Amino acid sequence: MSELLVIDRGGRTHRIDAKPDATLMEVLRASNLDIAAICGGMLSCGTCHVYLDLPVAGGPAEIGPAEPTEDEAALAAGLTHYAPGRSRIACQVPVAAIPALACISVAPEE
Amino acid sequence: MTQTLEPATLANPDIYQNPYPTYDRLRAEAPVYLDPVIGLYVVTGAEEMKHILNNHQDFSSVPDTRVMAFYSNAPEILEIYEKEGGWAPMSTLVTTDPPEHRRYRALVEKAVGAASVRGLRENVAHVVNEFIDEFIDDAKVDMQAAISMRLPVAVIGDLLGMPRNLGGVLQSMAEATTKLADGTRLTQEEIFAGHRAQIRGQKVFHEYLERYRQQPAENLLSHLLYARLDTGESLSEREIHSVIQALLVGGNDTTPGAIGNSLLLLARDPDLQSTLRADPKLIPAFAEESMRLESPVQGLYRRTQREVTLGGVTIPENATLTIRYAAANRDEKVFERPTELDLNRKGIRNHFAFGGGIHYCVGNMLARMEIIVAVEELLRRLDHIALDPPDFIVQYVPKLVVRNPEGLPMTFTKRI
Repeated sequence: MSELLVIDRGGRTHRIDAKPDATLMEVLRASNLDIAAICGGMLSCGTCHVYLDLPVAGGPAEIGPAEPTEDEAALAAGLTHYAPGRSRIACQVPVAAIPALACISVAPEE
Repeated sequence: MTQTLEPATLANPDIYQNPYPTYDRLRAEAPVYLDPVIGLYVVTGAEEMKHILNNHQDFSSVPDTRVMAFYSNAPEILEIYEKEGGWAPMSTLVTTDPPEHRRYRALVEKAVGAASVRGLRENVAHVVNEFIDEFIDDAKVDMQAAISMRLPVAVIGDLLGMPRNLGGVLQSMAEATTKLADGTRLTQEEIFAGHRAQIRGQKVFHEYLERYRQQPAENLLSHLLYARLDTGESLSEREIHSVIQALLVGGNDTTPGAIGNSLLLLARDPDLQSTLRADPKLIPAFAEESMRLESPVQGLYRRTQREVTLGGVTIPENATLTIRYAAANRDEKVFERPTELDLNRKGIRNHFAFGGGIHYCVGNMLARMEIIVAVEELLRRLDHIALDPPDFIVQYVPKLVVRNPEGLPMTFTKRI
């Protein structure tokens, strides 16, 4: 189990235990954090948009999550609340790739 | 005195022109409902829709071929394909369950993924402007014929590697496919005619497949010829025709409906035209609301894999459900003021116009981009877009699966 730090749309912080073989979208959806995830993980709808902030420089040396693919980056860039360098489509982020101390914020609804 | 209401049914011919009163009544009274005339379970509630779309174990996409006559394996249909030299349709993208579904979807998702679509945008704008150039000095046009029907055909044709002058054959092939998806309502003759239209289209594709077999090119047909499934096998020509055919429907029947329904909403609302012209960044939100309000794919089918209870209704194993996306998209439990077009709606992409779950429309990003670019360019170059005459009654293609205007005569003034 990994513990994830998630901030919901209301600004509340949650600590969530997550199985490493799940995707971040699956974890957020199961935690009732108001993630629509309409396409269920097909990298299609953009309704599981999150911001992923890595530990600040000088923090523990962790391996960052796998870089977004070209398609994930392009889908995120088309969303209204896109934030360069922070936006991720949660269904494409394996829990195992999220570093400890990373902060996940559920992006505003489109 | 009591009044007895007629039982609601999708067999009512009024459904083609205006399905919403029936959807509203069903959603309120029975969001899961056994239609006594067509014999299918009609699902109209958003909650039930979400459950079905995310549960392919219980709700299979493999169709009952009596309903989806396109996939009929009746001997007389197979004989037509054999005698006339076609490839009998088989389930690949739309009507499969995992793991087959994943296998086929993976073949095409890159070609219509977000990065690829971003690369196509400029060319799509160029094509729209070529079409606009043809009618901009006329002050009137059938927008459905001039833009909505032509643009997606051109875009999917370019992607596949087919010349633009073949649009008519491809369009009638796609048109016949969605007609064959209304299998409960067709005569035997209509079913035969629909399959013959497939064969005519397949023969055209066969010629181009042969060409790309000899000389590979940068297009989707060529890609399909050389692609390998995760099993290591290449696709048979029958499989290729089936994949092509699924993409063609998007290019020739559903995206035209999406663009046409959007242009109709625009033509009926001068204030909306002004708002979007003043702030084009709102056009993507308009596209989402248009698809929610007037879903181009009104619904598809699922088949129960076991007895299930949904919305208080027990549905036996092997029953066919017609899941009405357009009805769930107006469910007030999910969408506040559901009949209003709200450009600032929270969760504006959370609609079911592209379905949901693993079968979420693979071409959704292409369709979205085509609507957005068409609206952007029309608003940039035309003013005062209105129906002609203003009280023109739009007729819809009589199909249960898609909502597509038959014609959109409009007047406008030229801006640039």
